[in-house]
Amino acid sequence: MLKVKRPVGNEYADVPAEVVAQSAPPAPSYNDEQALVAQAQAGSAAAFGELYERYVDRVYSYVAFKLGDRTEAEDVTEQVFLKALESIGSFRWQGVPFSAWLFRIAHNQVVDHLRRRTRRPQVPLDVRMRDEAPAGDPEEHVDRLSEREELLAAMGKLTELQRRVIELRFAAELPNAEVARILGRTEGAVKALQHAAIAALQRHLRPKKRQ
Amino acid sequence: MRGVVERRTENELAEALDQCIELLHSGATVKDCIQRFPSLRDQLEPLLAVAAELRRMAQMQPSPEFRRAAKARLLAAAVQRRAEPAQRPAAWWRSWSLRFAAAAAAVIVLAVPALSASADSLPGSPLFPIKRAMEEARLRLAPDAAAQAQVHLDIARARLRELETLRQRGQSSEEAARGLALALGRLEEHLRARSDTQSLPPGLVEQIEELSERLGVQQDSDSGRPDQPRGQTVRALAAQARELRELAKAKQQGPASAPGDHTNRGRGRGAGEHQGPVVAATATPQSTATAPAAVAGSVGHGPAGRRTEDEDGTPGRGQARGRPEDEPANQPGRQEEPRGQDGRRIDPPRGREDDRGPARAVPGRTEGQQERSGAQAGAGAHPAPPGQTGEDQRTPGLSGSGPPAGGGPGPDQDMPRQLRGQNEHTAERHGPPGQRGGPGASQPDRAEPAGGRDEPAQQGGAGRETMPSERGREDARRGPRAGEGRADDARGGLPASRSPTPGPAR
Repeated sequence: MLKVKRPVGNEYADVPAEVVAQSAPPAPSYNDEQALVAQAQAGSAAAFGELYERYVDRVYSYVAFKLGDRTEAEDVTEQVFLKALESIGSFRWQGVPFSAWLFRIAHNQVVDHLRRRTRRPQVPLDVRMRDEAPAGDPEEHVDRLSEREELLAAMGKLTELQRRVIELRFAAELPNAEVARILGRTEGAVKALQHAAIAALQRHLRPKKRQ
Repeated sequence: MRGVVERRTENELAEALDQCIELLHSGATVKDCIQRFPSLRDQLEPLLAVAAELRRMAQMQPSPEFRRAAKARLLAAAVQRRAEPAQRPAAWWRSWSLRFAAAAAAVIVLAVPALSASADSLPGSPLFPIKRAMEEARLRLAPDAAAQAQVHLDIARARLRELETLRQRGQSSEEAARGLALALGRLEEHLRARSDTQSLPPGLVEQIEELSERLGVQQDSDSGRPDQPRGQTVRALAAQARELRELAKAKQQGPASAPGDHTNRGRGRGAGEHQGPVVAATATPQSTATAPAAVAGSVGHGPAGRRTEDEDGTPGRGQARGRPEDEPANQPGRQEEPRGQDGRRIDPPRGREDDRGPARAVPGRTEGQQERSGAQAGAGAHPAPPGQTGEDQRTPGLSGSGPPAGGGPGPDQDMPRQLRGQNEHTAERHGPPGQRGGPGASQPDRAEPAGGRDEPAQQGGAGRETMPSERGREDARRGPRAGEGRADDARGGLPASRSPTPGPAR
């Protein structure tokens, strides 16, 4: 069986950051990431900038997927990185990869944002997503919007845990092992949750597609 | 069986799905994935279609503008943070429990050797403030009045040991003498404040006796040089110790027996007691004789002071223990003159020492007071009274000198007392006035700058040591009366006087 798996951050959890920093190979890897984190913790703005480059797309994607609003997603994404910068000194490679730590921050920021948003008037989803540049065929864009609505509606029928697996797995593109760490589950449990979630989405989406 | 098979299939499917999702993330197509799991094709295909849709929908790219702008802001924030690192301690330091542990460890590591080494330190040595701080700490931690009195005694003994050592080395023992006077004054104040015999530490009288004996030895060693200021200081201290012994004896016999109390009461409790006791202890009969002088001195009658001196000259030692007052009086006498005029304030530095003598005179005052006691001139009590009532008694002596002071006596005297009282109090409390004798201390604060505003200043000199204590006591007593006055004074003086104690304490 072919296993294409990204290296898991915690493989190197026992290696002191300093050692990693000294011996870190130039190749982008989790090992390298530990060095970056160590440098960022030591106050290197460049190292933090590199971490930002590595994660900003996925964090944005994750946040936007949860919020369904691009502008808000940008605000929250920036907040996530500011928060990370603030508390990176307290991050420890104790079995928790940096990405898991970062997405935990993202999750908390989104939750905080949603809590605040409930006090403000809601903007309809379609309006919120309309700013998505209609590249190419306008009809196709409309189709995609409706597909997204369908998908979001179907997501609403998942359990909280299933939804989080999907968000982390697809929006944040985290490897199964890290999702498991973030959610405090075994990898097997995450696989099962993922399977169940996708099967449920398929059931909810397929009837409409058949029409 | 079927269930087991299904479960195995489910697990296989979940596993295959997971691997396919990873493949999709790394750029593979649904087709690629399905080819790897031909046996699961039927189940996988619809799931992977949804997965691909999820990927497409979920993965949104931030706009390049946002990406760039946000990064610039973050980097600016990161650089700013780097400027603060000094202010932002390492993560471990941000944990309060660790901080506390580290601080405690540091204190222990640094303090243990310093504390033990400070025990033998002498005034002026870097560790001396620590020693004083330890003493103050012991005082505060003393569980009851008897323990507090014992600490006062221990402190006095420590000062005496320092004084002995310094004198033996031929070095200036002024600060030690001042400290001793202060310690004795504090002990006296402490004793006066209690009326129950239970609050007396065991062997109180004997312990004071021992101090007194040792001071007597020091005094005798100076016998050949009566003029020496140091000699005066020691004499004054010896007198103070004797007074204290008498007071302790009286206290041990019962509150009522304390002579001072009677007198004092007349005046007003606080002051009365203090002075009263003193007087009682020292002055009583003899004191009268000397007392006048002392009183005069205290009052600020230069003449009286001088007279006292004369008396001191002779009686000083002779009376020594027998009549401490005399001795003080003597010393005071000299300085008193200055005071008398200034009314205590003007005295020159050394004159001050003499002043202290007067302080002892206090005993005399007592007498005076006693005599007056009836009168208890209240305000005048000691100083003032001297002028007024006391003066009458002592007046003879004082009168001569007294007049000057006497002129203003009533008010002046009163003023002085209060001032003194305050000063002394301050000094006592602060104990360390360090700078100058206990009294001096109080005075020092004010007096030094002012040039010995009141008597304190005057006392400042050698007299300070002795006088301080005495006056200190008086003042203390009065101070109490003055009450607020003291506090203020104390604060005012604190800087100087406290400096010694507080510093270390800190």
